[in-house]
Amino acid sequence: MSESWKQLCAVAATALAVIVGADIALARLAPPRQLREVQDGVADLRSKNPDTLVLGSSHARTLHVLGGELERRTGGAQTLVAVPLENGKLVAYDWLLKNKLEPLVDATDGDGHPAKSRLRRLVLITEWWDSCPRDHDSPYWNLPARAWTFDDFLADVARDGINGFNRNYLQNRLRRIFSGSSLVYDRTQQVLVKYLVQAARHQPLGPTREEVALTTTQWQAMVEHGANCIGDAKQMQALADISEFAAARHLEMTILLFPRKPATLNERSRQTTLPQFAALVRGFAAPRGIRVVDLTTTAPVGDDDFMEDFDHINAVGNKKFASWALEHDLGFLLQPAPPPVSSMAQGNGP
Amino acid sequence: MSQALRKSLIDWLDDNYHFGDAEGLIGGDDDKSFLQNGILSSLGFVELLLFLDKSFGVRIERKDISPANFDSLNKIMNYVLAMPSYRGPR
Amino acid sequence: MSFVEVEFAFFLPLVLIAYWLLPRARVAQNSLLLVAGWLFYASWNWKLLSLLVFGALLDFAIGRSLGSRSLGDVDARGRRMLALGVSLVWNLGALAYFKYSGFFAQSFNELMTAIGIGASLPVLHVILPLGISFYTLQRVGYVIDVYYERQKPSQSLLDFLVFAGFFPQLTAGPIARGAELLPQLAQPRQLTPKLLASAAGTFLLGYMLKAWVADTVGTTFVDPVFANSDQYSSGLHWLAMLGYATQVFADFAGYSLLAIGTARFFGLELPINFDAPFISKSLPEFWRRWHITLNRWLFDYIYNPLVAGSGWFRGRFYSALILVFLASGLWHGAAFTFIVWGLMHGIGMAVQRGWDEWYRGLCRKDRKYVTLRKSALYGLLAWGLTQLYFMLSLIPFRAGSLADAAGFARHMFVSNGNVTLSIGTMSALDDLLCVLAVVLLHLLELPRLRRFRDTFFAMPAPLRGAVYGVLIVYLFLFVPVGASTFIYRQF
Repeated sequence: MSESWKQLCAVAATALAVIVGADIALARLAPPRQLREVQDGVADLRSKNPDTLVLGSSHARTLHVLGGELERRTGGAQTLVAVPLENGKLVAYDWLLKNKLEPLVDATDGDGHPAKSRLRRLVLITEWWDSCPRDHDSPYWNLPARAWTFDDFLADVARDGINGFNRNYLQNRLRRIFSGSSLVYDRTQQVLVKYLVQAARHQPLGPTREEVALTTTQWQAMVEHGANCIGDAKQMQALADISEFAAARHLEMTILLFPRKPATLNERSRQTTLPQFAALVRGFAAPRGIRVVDLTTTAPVGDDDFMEDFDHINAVGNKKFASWALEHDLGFLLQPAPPPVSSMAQGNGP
Repeated sequence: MSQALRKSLIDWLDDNYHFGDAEGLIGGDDDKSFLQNGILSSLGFVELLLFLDKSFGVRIERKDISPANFDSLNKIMNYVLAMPSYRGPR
Repeated sequence: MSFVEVEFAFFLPLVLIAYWLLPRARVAQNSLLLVAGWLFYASWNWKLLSLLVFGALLDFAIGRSLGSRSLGDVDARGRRMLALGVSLVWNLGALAYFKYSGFFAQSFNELMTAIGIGASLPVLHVILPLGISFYTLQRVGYVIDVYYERQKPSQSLLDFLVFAGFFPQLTAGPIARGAELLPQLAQPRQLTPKLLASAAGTFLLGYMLKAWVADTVGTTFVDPVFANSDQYSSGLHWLAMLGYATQVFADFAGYSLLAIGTARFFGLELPINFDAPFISKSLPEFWRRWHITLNRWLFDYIYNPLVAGSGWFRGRFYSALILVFLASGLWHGAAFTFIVWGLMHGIGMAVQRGWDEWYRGLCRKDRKYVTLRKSALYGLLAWGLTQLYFMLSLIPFRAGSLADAAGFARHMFVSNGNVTLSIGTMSALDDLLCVLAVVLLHLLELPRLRRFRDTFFAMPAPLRGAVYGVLIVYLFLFVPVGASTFIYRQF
């Protein structure tokens, strides 16, 4: 085979054109979504001086939308930074707090004053899942995937070599580089082939009725069985560490129990998992003076306000939730937090 | 080059592998690679070496036991004829 | 680090760009390859990198020592043999320790227990250094070639260290000869469009086989049946066996092509490792087409010297064949299943030889048997038997234990299992495409059909580009997500 540079470039250019063209065409079926991640939250915390820091799983993205509404309603007087960690778990939140957020929270300016002088509140978004241990005690892969920076990756490789755990860091980086690509995005969703078949058959795109029924059953079973695993010792210790972090910095802490899609809850889980977890959290929070806001079933978000993954609130639902929450259970965010007790005792209060 | 030796080698190839077709496979090109043209496989080379020893007294040195040294009629004949122990036709 | 893992997507472009930005000089290029090779290895385990480097330094020194006196120098014979011995003891000793000490100790203990003796050896659980089965053979081959003056010893430590730790072949071969790689390393490499095109094409084909074919077929209808043999019907067992043959070929041939393609990106040629083995019409032919570099090593360094040498094995073809394939089985793994696999092929090769000898006798008496041997029917029967035997031998190769292998084999003929494999339509079509891809690759190697391959490469560049583009889009959609298990990495 003889090949000249011109021919080679022609081959490469055509191949690339086909790939990009297919990518653009397939994006009409399943557009890639650029989601807010830990590094976006960290960047915001670095550059801003918020009043409230929100920490939680992917559900913290909903509070990011709420933060926009908060800023709008208060004319910027109250601001919020949300740091979402996909896949959750209290131990993982604690790692994130200590390793990535604490240095920023505790940073001082050139005169030795706190850089985050306005920070008064910490809101932890959680649900029953966060207090269960990881399946088979598997490692917290969401940390390398979503929360690590390059030096964390290097340190882990130096200790253990590249392995299935720390490889998540690189996979996530590569995905972010190609975040605009529907083909790359589909590697995490795997719906394009199904949608192509549906489109060819002139069927509506999305899960079939049978798939929805199966997924509903699976979710209900998972939530129901959550009663058997909530309150894991390691997770609860992490929660205690998070609360101590807040207490040491005189931050008013709130634990927000996030809404679940109604269809994922059967009667049994409404009687066991949910109230048991709520009681667990209240029992933890009360002696520590931590506010608990339980929106698991009380927020006016219905099944249609959730995405096809049965877990996350969609864009319309986020706006609905934000508006409602600021008028109800999260209305306290509209007002500045009361000054810390220690500064009041020293006569530094209003 | 020894035609008699050549005939012995062709006869051996015919008797063991090609049954009259060896000359046709070689096609007049005594440099044609045995391995690449299916004339003799790598397993067959060892049998060739034993035949050379038995028939012509050529004990192949261990360092030379490699198909590369015996991969064509000419290579075989050059090697064999150069061996002091060779006692076959010239 | 594996070619299909994400880290390679970062590693290769960075190293490649740096390599071709360097001056086209041997020292610069080889220095980069050396650093890249060590980083590649260290990314797996930096501590065991020292084993690789020490062994390479030792063999370089031994090579130089052997080269300083000739094979015919009687006074130096003892010293040369000692040098060779040191290399063999170190290399094979390290391989034996890391790979086999646990197995032999455990087997010894089980034997002692079985005969009622309480003695037991400690069973060490050591990390198997990545690639040790491959780089050991490559270095041992070099030292033996230098000893027998088939190869001049390398005078450049840099070149030799790259030879001993060239990252594309470090994990699982192909096993190269000194004569193949060292002369290339001694010259600066130039970047040409033909080189890039060939490297990219080979890499893409390798990726297709390894990440798409092997992983698709493996997860769909091989793993489930082997994992729960008693649940599936006999028919599904045969399908799983066929699937595993496809999987192991695609996995390892794919890996080899990825290695060859990667090396080619740097202007270096590695030997081919697979040559359409599923068109083989005999076991010897099969082993000339499957894992070529290992089998040529075994035959060049063990079989040929034994059978053509002056020891007990001289002329004892059958015994030597069985021994060589036992060695091959053991090389593949420290387990009785691999020993059984090796024994099956040793016996198969011996039976093939016996058949060939007997048939030769018929041919000598009557030429009709020569004609029969060249007939399509004979060819078809020979092909069918060869492929069937190879696939049956994969049962102990794949099974976790001899008991599992026996169970699987039994269920191929008698099974009460009735669980069906739940595969969606698209998955089934994808599986079929995988198998067809392997079939097509083999068909295109047949002399009569090779011209179709040439026709493709003669097509206008934009058309070829479009085909590659469609192929890559297909791979995006259908390559299974998740780390692929590289079957041969464990060796």
